[in-house]
Amino acid sequence: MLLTSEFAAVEIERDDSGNGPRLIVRDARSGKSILLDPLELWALAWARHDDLIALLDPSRRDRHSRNGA
Amino acid sequence: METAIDSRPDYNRLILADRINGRIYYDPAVFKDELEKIWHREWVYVAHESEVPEPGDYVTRQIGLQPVIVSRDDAGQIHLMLNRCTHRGNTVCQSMRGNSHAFRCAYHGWTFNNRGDLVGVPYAAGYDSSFRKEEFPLARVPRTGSYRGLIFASLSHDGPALEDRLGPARALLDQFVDLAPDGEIVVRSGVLKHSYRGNWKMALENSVDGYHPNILHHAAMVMMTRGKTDMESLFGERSDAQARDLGNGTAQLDLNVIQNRNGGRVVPPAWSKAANEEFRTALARRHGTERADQILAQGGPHFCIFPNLILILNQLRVIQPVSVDETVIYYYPTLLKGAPDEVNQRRLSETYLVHGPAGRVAPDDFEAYERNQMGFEARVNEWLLLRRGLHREEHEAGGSIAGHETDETTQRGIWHYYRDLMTH
Repeated sequence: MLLTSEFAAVEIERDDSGNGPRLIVRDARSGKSILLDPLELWALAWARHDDLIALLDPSRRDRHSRNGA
Repeated sequence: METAIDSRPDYNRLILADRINGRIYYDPAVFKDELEKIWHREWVYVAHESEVPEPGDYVTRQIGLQPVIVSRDDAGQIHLMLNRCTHRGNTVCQSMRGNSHAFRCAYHGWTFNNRGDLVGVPYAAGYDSSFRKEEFPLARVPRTGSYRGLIFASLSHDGPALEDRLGPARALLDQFVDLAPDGEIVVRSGVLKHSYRGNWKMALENSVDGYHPNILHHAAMVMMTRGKTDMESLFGERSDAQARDLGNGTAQLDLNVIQNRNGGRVVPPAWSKAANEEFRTALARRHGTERADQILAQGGPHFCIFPNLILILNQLRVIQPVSVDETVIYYYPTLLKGAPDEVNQRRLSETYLVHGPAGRVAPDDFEAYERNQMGFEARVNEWLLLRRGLHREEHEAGGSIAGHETDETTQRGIWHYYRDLMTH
């Protein structure tokens, strides 16, 4: 499933390669992705938008690229 | 009566060179001693690395009766932790397998990352300023080690190194894994879980008992060989195979001479010639043609590593004690990384056809164990005989002892090792 806005384009997909199901969230432009397990998704469901603000800083992208994450 | 149940078990009197006393299978005091001296001290097989292939993957197991979590973190590191919340002692994981970066205890919500660090405590203001989360990680299993992807663990801080403990078993583990053209087995094809009302040691002894297959499993053996094979030459007086005590609780039914005649199997290959050629080519890429042919002709080994691991041809069995007279045994099919699909499909189907709930072999064994346990209630003469072949076994160079395939050389080896552990 592809979700786009003027700021980002993100694909989401179910993944069953591990011992339990996960959700792949992939930045459609760079291909960078994360696999989120159900407890992490639960945490997102209960997060406030303010909790995510720190994660929106685009410099994180460069930092994580350098770290290979 | 030979023994009195109200006295402390004396293992030097219960285990003799040619016999053992039935008390060793039913006395709760013996089981309690075994937990202390074997299961919670010695190296025990826990899991295979391929069971947690992805970051966040975990499986839950027991070492003896102690619950543990085997997890893989984002760096690919495998962790073995006691499955016990450091707050009130609940198990934090209940599923046999799953994927999670954090384990959250259902009781009060204490949350641990999959490396065992305590990362979350609800209503933290209730703890004073001296409380530090760093001091309350999940307890780690004191010693862990792996060999060819098989993970072993010991709950004791001291003792022999895993390599030393495995000793001659390493060559047999190599034989088991070297069949994989990519050099790795894969243990991710499910598991058959059986429980029986009997003592755990019977499954270990039976795994290397070459005397019973042509009796207890006769109908199954005739069916599997389509009635075309002289059964006495496989498991009987005319067999030229051997039973071997390799020491350290490793015992082997050495069927290599039979397998060499049958393309590496007890009964000839059931896969196509094309698949066999593909298999050979894949092995030759890694080892060269000569070694590839040797690996194929030899096939998989048939042996056990005390106390809980059994490797037979293509499957891996794990013994899990529950109580003195209840045991669970897990049968894992193993696949060969890099082998043709047809070969792996055959390995998988052999496990469920032979050892499934309506399988040709395993249900007979469970029936035998339960009859054993019932028989032990008859206590006028409590001795079980272990003397078969004692007069004709050979002491080999390197310290192993070899007997005829149908001899009880293997069981004697297991019992002598057991007695050593229980008296130290």
